[in-house]
Amino acid sequence: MAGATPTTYSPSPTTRKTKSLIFRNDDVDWVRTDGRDFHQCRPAFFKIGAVNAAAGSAYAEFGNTKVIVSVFGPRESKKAMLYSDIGRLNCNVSYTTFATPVRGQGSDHKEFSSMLHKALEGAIILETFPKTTVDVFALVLESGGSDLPVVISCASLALADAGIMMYDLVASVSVSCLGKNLVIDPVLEEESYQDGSLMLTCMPSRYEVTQLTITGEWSTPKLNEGMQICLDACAKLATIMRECLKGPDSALEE
Amino acid sequence: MGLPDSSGGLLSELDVDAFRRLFPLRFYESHLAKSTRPDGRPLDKARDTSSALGAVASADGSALVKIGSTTMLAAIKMEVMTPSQESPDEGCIAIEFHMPPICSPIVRPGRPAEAAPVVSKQLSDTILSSGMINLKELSLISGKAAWMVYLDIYCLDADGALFDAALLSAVAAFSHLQIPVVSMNDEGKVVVMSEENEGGKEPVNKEKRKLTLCSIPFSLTCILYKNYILADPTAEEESIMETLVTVVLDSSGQLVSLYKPGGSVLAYTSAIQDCVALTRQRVRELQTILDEATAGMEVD
Amino acid sequence: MGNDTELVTPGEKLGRASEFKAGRGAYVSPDNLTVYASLTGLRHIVSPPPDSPDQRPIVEVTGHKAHGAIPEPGSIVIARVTKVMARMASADIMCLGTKSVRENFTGIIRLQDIRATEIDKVDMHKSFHPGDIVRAIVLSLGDARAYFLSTAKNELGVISAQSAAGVPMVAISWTEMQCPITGQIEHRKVAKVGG
Repeated sequence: MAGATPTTYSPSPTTRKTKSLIFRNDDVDWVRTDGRDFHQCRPAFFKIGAVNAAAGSAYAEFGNTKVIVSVFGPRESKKAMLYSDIGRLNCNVSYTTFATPVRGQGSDHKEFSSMLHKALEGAIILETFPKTTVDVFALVLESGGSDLPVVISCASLALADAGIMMYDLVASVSVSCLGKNLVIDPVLEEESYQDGSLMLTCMPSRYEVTQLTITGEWSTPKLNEGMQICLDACAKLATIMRECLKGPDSALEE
Repeated sequence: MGLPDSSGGLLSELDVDAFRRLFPLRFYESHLAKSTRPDGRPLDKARDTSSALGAVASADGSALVKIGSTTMLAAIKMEVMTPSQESPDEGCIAIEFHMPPICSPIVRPGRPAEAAPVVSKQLSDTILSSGMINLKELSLISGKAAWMVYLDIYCLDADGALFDAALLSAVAAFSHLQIPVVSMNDEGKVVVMSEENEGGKEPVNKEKRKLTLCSIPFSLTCILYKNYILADPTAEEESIMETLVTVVLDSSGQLVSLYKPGGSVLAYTSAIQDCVALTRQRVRELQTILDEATAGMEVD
Repeated sequence: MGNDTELVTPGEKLGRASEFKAGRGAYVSPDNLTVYASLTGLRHIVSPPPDSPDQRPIVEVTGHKAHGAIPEPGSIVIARVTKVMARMASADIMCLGTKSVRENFTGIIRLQDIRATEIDKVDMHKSFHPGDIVRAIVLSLGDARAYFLSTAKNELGVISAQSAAGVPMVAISWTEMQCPITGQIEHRKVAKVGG
């Protein structure tokens, strides 16, 4: 293995199935590749306390999207040069090299770290840990679509597991616009064909939307429809998340 | 009214938890004197070890290994390269060990852990020098195309004995590896054959789907502290008793490598022999665990 | 009412703000109508102190593993001295109360905060040496780099120190410790036990 690393290419087929194999633009009645209804999310699996070395952690699996989030702190930050009488939040999202179908594509998602930060900061009671920093680190093990919403929901569980005070849990879901239809919790393939997308993050107890990210063109009625679908799904997700926190892994002192 | 003294006094007011943090060596020595460790293990016993193959569905081979809390996820992705002129019949293996920020409070984004490149190099050297993989089995078309095997190991939870867990996960991933069936397309590129086989191409490697693994390396890391030898240390043990020895043996008991990076305790021959003996025992355990995991996969 | 042992998670309703005051692990919504949980844990109701003007019972959420703990002014900590300089000593805070902390916080003990009396006559090097374990109280959040600590009370100060010979010393007075092997006496600001 001496000398420079040789260039390599993946033998996987690069030509995607053409869109028309799944649905045509005028179709209103087609079937998703995994058989789900348009407004049906993938089954969500959560586990808290996945990483022993962290103050709090969670693992989430939504179909083929698998994510681990670790929370450290509140702890001292060597970076902090200025005194602050409220706490700081620091987020980072990274991908394994094998998360994406083609090796190393995960580095295309550099903006996820700041989006995660914006999604969480409204929910954390920063006044309860002045001068210190809470670090939230996410690692996407496998990318199966809707990666960022899964990371956000998983991060909120990890924060709760770490005992960081929050106003509420944070749940997140996204919707893809495919032709005439709005499809919730899209998989990777559906995301690649989408005409537009909407990602909604909320604090479910009070239906408070903390973050809304939209791409593509959305008419007002379509936007309202998209938001309503997301809010309903977030409420269901929140129930699952709360059950997980109260479940057998919940770390209560005896 | 009492004065704090060295044998009690104020110190007796401390929680076990606080005492362990403030006086770690004294805490450990009181356990070692009774031939045990705080987690209840005898000095020569490794933690519960498990391995699950196929943890990453999208990879060509993968494994999740846990030794105690230390967790490693290894995945292999195969890509195609042009073999070098000096070795036209050989492929290549690129092994990298990662410690992402999730695994430990000492790792920060942008400031990689000191241990990561060290373990990475150790792994590469061990796997290549053990002769476990015959690079000629990675050849596709002599002189034109060969496999480049990318093995990435991610530490998901760091609690000591990182090299041992990483090596086991690498070996498990290789044993799980299914080489995709490929053929040469019209532009001279190697592509995975689809099930329908449009174009009626002949596969290049129909027969060779699994690698033959000979002389599989297994390892055990031990800590040397005074006269004690502690097998399979936790992160706490590694940080307070710094001298460690890693012995790598292959499945037939041959020594593949011995690694003792400095440390205040000198490694006398008897200590090394004891470590090798402990490793031999461990190799049998690990071989069983790996066989069970592989058998479990074949049932499906 | 009574003491419910109901498991709650952040964002769950604990009661009406008109009936309950928000204690630890709980907060009142901005419109002042509802008390919500901010932690995962068990919902407890505590009676208010008898002399308090607000006689509403306090609802709190407790029982979660002790995470999120940071040094608070007025709390006792145990720290290991790292540096001793002319006017202050730095120390790594390793325990909050009696519980160890996962990652250390940095504290400093300034010359004027070492003892309560004869502050102008204090000698830094006769009070602490690097490596000493001290019990201290948190004075304030301090500045960006360190919490301000104080050992200016009888029960605060050095609780364990090693002699120049590397052996734990025995305290013989509030200002002196002796090495059991060499008999040499060293000066420290020693903490008082019991009494």
